[in-house]
Amino acid sequence: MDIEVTGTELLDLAQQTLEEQIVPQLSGKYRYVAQMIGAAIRIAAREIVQEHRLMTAEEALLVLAAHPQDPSEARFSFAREIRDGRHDADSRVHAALWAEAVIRTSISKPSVLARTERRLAGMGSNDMG
Amino acid sequence: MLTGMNGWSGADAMDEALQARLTDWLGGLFNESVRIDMVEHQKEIGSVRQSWLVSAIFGGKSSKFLLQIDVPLYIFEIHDRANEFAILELVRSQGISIPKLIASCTDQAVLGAPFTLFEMASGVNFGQQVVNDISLGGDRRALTNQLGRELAKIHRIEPPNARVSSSVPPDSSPSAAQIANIRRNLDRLWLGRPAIEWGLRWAELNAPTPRRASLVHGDYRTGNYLVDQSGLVAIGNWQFGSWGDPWSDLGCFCAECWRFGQTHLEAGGIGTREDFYQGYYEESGFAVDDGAVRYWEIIALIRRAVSVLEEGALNRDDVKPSLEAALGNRLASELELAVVRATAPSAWRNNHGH
Repeated sequence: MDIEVTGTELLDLAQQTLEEQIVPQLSGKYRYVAQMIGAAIRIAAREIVQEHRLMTAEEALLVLAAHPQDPSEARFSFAREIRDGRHDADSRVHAALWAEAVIRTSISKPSVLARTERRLAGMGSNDMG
Repeated sequence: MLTGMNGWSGADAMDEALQARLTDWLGGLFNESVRIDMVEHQKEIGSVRQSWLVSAIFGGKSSKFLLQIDVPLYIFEIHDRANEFAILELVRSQGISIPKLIASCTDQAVLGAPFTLFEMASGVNFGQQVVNDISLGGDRRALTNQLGRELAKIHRIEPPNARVSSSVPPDSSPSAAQIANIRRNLDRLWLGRPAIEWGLRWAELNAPTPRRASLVHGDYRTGNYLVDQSGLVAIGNWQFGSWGDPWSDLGCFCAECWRFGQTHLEAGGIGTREDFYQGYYEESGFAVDDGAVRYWEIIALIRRAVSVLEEGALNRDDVKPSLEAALGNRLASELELAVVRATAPSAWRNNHGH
């Protein structure tokens, strides 16, 4: 059994301590700054947990490129292919873009993702094409 | 921008040398001895200019001003001060409420960038506060209707008019100009953002037929108008004013990114789309083209996404990184999510998709 505290656990604990012990003691701009710090810690912690999922989603997107590139250029050149009309209305590209955006949003602001999913469910059908 | 006294004030301070030069400039402007007793940075979400609340004592009394200064390296094209002044005077002559101008300074030796001084108006423009504090803005249905009416008044100003110096020729395609501008900015930032490019490509192929060009505000949204307890006080932030497609302003107002979390209130987070459209119709006689407005909502989302990414780029290059800008940068994900959701293959005209 590994008893060492992980980086994610440390970040979670730091954020919890900040929210419970520091933020209530502050007001005005310092409270706002402390809340920003808390938000940054939460995002960083979620990013560590989801790193692998995000990488997989990026790979699934970039594999659709018409002309695969060196990994360091792949994102930029794929974006350029879309601009040049090589992937117009391509449902596979759209699905991959959606999958990646979902993971990125689940890292940066999961509440928005939950709201989006509720809205899509409320529409009775998925408007994702 | 305009601002209220109640907006969150940032911690940034104007250094003593700048304050001294500002004091001299104000002294010359009012032709009397001036002492500045407070300068406070006003924080606003999505603002393209820095705003400072300046309290100065001259002639034995204290006066408050709003000072707006250009943010360096901002990538979207904004007017120079002279053009903005001309547009402000033009819209004032149409009976549209705007903040009272005091003076403009283009001498960069004073504060390092051009700036404008406005009389401080009482009220609030801070978007989060405007949508959530229902004691502001008076009757919300009336406010929503009025914001539709005010926009229609702006759109009565049509080309040609020598006072409007627009980077967008009135006979060009407003959507094509916007798309080209956003792409230029993506390239300047060297950003590979497939989701944004997907949205732009959709916008390129699915642009509605534009309405006859008029003056457009260019950033007509919650956060850029000032309200008090009884209702609308003024409309500010005219730096993007140009000839354009009138529907673009309605799209900006209704865009999800400018509802400040009140997503069910589709008109700027303060009211219903129907009340907003109705106000516009009552003042202009134009039935709103809902499809065109929704098209421009997507453009507004894309524009906002590029804007927050640029804030991150500024953050990386800046000598003093800002946590706020870095967090703002992460908003790009949810904006891209909204763009991708709205541009599914079924939403492409002449869908030749795979």
